[in-house]
Amino acid sequence: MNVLECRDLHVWFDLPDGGQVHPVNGVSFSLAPSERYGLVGESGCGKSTTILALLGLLPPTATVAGSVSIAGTEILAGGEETVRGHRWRDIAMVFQGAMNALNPVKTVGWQIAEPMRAHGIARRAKARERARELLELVGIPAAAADRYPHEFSGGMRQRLSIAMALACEPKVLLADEPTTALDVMVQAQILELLTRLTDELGMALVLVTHDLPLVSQFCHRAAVMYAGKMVEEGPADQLSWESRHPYTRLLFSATPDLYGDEPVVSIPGAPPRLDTAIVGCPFRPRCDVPMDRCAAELPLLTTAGPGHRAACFRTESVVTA
Amino acid sequence: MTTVAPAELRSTGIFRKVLREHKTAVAGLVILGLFVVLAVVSPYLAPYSITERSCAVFEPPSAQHWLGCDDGGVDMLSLLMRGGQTSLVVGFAATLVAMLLGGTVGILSGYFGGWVDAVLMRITDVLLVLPDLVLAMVIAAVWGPSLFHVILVIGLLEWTTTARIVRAEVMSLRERAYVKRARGLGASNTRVIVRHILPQAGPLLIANTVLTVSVAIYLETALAFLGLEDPSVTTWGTILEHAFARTAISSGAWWAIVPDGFVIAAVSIGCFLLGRAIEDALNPRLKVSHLSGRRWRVRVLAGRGADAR
Amino acid sequence: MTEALLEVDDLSIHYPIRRGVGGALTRRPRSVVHAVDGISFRLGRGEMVAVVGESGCGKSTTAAAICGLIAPTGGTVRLEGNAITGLSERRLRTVRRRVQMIYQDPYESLDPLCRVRDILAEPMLIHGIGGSKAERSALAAEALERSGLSPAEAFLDRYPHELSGGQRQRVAIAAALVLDPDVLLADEPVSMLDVSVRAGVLSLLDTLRKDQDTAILMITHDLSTAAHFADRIVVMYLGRIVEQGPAREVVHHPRHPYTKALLSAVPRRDREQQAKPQLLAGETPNPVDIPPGCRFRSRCPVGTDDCERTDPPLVTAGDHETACLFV
Repeated sequence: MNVLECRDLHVWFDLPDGGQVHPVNGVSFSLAPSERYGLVGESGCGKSTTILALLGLLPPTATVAGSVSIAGTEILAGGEETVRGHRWRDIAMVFQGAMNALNPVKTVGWQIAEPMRAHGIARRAKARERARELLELVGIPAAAADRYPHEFSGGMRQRLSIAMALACEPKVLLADEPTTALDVMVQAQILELLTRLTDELGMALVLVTHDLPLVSQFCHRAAVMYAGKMVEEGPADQLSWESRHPYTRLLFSATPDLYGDEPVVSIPGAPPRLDTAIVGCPFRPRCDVPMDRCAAELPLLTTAGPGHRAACFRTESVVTA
Repeated sequence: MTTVAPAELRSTGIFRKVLREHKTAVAGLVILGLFVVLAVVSPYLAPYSITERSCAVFEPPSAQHWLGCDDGGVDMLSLLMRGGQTSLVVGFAATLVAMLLGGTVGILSGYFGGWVDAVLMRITDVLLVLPDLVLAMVIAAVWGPSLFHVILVIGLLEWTTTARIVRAEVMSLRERAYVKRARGLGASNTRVIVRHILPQAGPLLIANTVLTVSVAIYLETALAFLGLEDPSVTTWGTILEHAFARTAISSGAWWAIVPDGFVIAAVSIGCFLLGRAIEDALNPRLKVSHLSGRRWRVRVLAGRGADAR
Repeated sequence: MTEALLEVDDLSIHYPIRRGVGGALTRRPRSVVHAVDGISFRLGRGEMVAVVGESGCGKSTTAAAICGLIAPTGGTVRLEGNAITGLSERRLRTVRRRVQMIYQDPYESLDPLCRVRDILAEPMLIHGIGGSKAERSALAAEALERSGLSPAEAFLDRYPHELSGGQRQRVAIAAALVLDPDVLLADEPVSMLDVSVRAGVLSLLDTLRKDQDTAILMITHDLSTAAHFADRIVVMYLGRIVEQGPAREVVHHPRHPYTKALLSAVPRRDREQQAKPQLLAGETPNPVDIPPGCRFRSRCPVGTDDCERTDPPLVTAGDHETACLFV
């Protein structure tokens, strides 16, 4: 059974001058236990907002629609009240800048134990002990529980964030660009840690990133987002080599490979504004293979292969509803 | 990763933005504007002369004298209008002194750091520590009470706060990438300060200045009330001082005191509203936050119940 | 054979750590951060050299020193044979014309209150280029066109916040080009840009060096970018150069264990072909307490006791230098 089901998620933000912006526009996906799912896109595509919405961590100017359920239980429909009980217990998050997520005046052990206390899972001695266990799990000596965040390096702080997220044994872990600010070696270490955790704990992982090769290497499945919509979704290696959406293909062409010799090409233009409704395919202005149809009609996600969907009129197989 | 706020705060654009988004700012500006206009036209619009008697001692408000008269039989409304002119001049002049002095010290201190900063900040500290009124009294006693001295005293007392605020801002601006870039290009210190730091620190300085005006007017009132100002000059402060000295309270002549207090408060509120709105505009994070009582909302989309699974 | 335009010779930059009152009273020994500890390399006309390494290796500090923003503690930097380090501020100004820097953050490196026109005019005003406003405008427009912002008139009166990240970076490059520099230092020029935009900016730098013979020193942590665009790669670790050579050589035939490990950790599109990443134990040690002998010893998978005693010298094999006892 799928551990996370997200159906038709929408997020709107109110703008100070009265308008609205629509950063997440009908996103649907599901996660199986132990699955590593990549959410790829560039800045402004809505990937970070999507995972924040899953946790209900949105500002008061936000409006949400759609259905999010964890192990069959709907968590979003009731707003903050329903989400709160599930937050961190069933679904937790690791943020991009670990230093932003760690309280500088509390010891590390205290912070890891905090979610346990907040949800009434464990108290005092038991929470402390569990915090130490978690530290060992993420590769930090348990004795470090009495240290403060500033005493740790960047990579270790990210491990601390992961330990904190694991405090209540969530079924789903969301990671927002967890390794973007880290060196490549530390990144590899963190990814190896996350691999181990998802395999051993049966936890599902959503990894938000702009780094395509990382997704190819590390994720089982991935989705590409553009202008608030999901434009392609499928197994990571299919996305890499048999992509069915021009944007995915162009993104890979724009990323230099370490040993490859292919020329690296930019994608001209810029993503569209999200405060007005877009007619037709949002990628059309930048697409290298547009058709006339794309200007007037919005392509929906259709099956392009087993477990592989793409929102493009050029996709070969089309499923009839 | 779109950083919207800093880029939009061009010195001219910021005022339009403030007025657009903060209704309180408009209110503040209107109040202040009203008083400034009144102060300017007071010589022409004041119904009666303030040097000649036109009514009985402590005559209560009536149709001819809307705010009654003071102990010398002079029309209260005319007094307030003329007094407002002087008070506002004092307030603005003193604030100008404070702003120029404080701004300069703050910029030099913040930009150069090192011993320049140390010396300037120690001077600032000394002035901050000295009790305001004691200093005012000493100056009045030594130089004699006069309006000019009052302006000077207020300016000297107020520049320190401005200096500290500006210094903090400049210290953070100094570390910005574009400042470092300008210096890497070979720009002289003067150029960097004038072209890159001052325009950014400007709005903050202005917000602080507006707030300082209200403090200056209040201080003027206090100094006049304590008798440290030339009593022959008509300011809101001296009006109040005269009223108290000449038993307005025991006579029950509230009109000699309350309206005066009211206008001072009104100007203060006007400055506060405007100044705070500018400050808010400069710091967008002060707006709606996660800690506010409001929550994000859930919307139910119609007709999407049975979409493809 | 490209003659060396820029020579870095045994450059060292050390920062003393302030002891504070408590430390001075207890006579704690003064600690020194060895940000850069004796590095040497050369940059020829029309050549792009990428300096790669992890955070704390000293690459950004090196760039700042070459640019004249930091005074080195030891060694020299020479431009066409003449030393450009240790100069007075006045002499340094002429050097600044010839060595320009592009910064990492396009959102922060342009003054938000200045129009593009003014941003481009500033270097001209400082260095006395372009006698009149009209002349400066023309030079600015030309620089914008060369940076790929066309038509230039459309950009001259814009403010930075009206431009995208890629466009801002191009403006920054144009502002450097206006001085016609011999050397461009690019400190992580694309790391804060979207993936789809990076290639454009990097190609621009590539074009500059081919057409204008500009020498480019690119600081980056992204080995794939370095491999793709640079002629030579210099790998730094803890303030030292551990390997340098032609880019393809270094990437396909790395010699130093650190380089090998680094390359293996880079995620690649082809999951099958990727060797299992060689994860080094721990993290980069503090540049304050540098262990004697080889700096990489604590994390090296192939080190021996010898490595603890001897600081490995650079072993040269043709164009390819490596600082390791096992080459």
